[in-house]
Amino acid sequence: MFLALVIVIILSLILVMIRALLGPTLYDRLLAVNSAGTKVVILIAAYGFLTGRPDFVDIALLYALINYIATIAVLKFFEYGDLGSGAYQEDDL
Amino acid sequence: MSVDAIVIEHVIVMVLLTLLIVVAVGIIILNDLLTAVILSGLYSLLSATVFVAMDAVDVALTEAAVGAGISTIILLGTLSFTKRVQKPQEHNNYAALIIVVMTGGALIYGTLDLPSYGDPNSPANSHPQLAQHYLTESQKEIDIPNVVTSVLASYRGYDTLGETAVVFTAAIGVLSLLGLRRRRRKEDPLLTDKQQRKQQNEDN
Amino acid sequence: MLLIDIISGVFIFIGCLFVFGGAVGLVRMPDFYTRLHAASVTDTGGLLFISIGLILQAAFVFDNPMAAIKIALTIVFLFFTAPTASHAVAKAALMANIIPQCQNGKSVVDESLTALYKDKDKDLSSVLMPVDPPEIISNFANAEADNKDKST
Repeated sequence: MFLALVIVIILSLILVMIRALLGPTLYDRLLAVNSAGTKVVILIAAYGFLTGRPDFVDIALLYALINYIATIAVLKFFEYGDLGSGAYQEDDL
Repeated sequence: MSVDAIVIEHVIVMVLLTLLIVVAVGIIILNDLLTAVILSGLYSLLSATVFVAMDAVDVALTEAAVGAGISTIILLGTLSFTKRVQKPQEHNNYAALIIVVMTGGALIYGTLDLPSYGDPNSPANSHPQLAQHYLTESQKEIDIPNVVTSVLASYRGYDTLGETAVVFTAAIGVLSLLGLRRRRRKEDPLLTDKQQRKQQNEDN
Repeated sequence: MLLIDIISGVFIFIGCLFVFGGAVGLVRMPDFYTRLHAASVTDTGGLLFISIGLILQAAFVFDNPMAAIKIALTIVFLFFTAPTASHAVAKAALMANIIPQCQNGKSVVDESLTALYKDKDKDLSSVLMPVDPPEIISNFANAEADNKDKST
């Protein structure tokens, strides 16, 4: 059962990678990488069950949080062109 | 663990390593630098999965935090100072290619001397006291229940300190370049409205 | 034991359908916004069902309640972050003037709105993001203060 799960996730990871490499716009690539992040989270969790030691779910948990930060950072870069802190700050006024 | 399980594990690791190579070639071929940054995030995702599959959980944790989180942000910060598209290459730099190929070949030749993955006869495993000492005495000596933590933070503490210093220096360098620039949008009607209101308040 | 295996197997199978369908959709769908749908299916449906299956396995077969709790936490975090990330990607794409397409070649959004998107000089933020509530409240308060000033 876990083997089938891991195989399905790796297959869909390959499909998502095709989109990330082909993707006509940057947003397609970003969407594909974000989706690959979710799949990797599931893959790491499922792999622990496949080898019979489900103690390594910590890394899946960490990835669930880190992946989001990277996506938001890239989007902030898209929107503003830099990573400066805060849109308007009080002493700018 | 049965033989089948070992074969399955090896096949999964091989497939993931092949995907890593595909992503790396994609990063080299594509000209858009922002795309390269996004794909490097995908690369570190896959390499962390490989680390988990090869039981190097601590390295996978580091790769997750540094590779996917910090390095993407540092690369983006660097990118905000330069253009988004790679400069077209005007001349062929064969000398650089030769140097890179020779360095890569030397590194691959170096890996031939390393013990193979999970080898019971490797020096680290066959040394009479080393592994035994860590497993039995670390609880007494360092008083930390997790052996990996005590090796990482105490037995080879200077090494870890050096690594942390390198990452910290890189982050401080990039932040000191980045954090000083502020966005200003003078033509924004909301902002001018706020400014006017603030001035009115000050006048009152 | 067998019952738990069957139940979690069914959950994992449904989750696999979601994940694989989402991945195929991400490759086959014609434009960005439809691909967004496919990607979201993986983040919500696939993750939820597979995680439920894994939680059942961890709690009852592997006898490891800590792993079950960690997977549950993963669901909670991803259910906060994944929709936020999808929304941010969609908003950024809309801001970058990527127009949704329809099958018969006509744009699915209103013509006037499309013209607005194409006109890069116009400020899109007023159309896409109406003034946020605190701003409205403070505007209202200011207007009231102005009226009082006039009356006195």
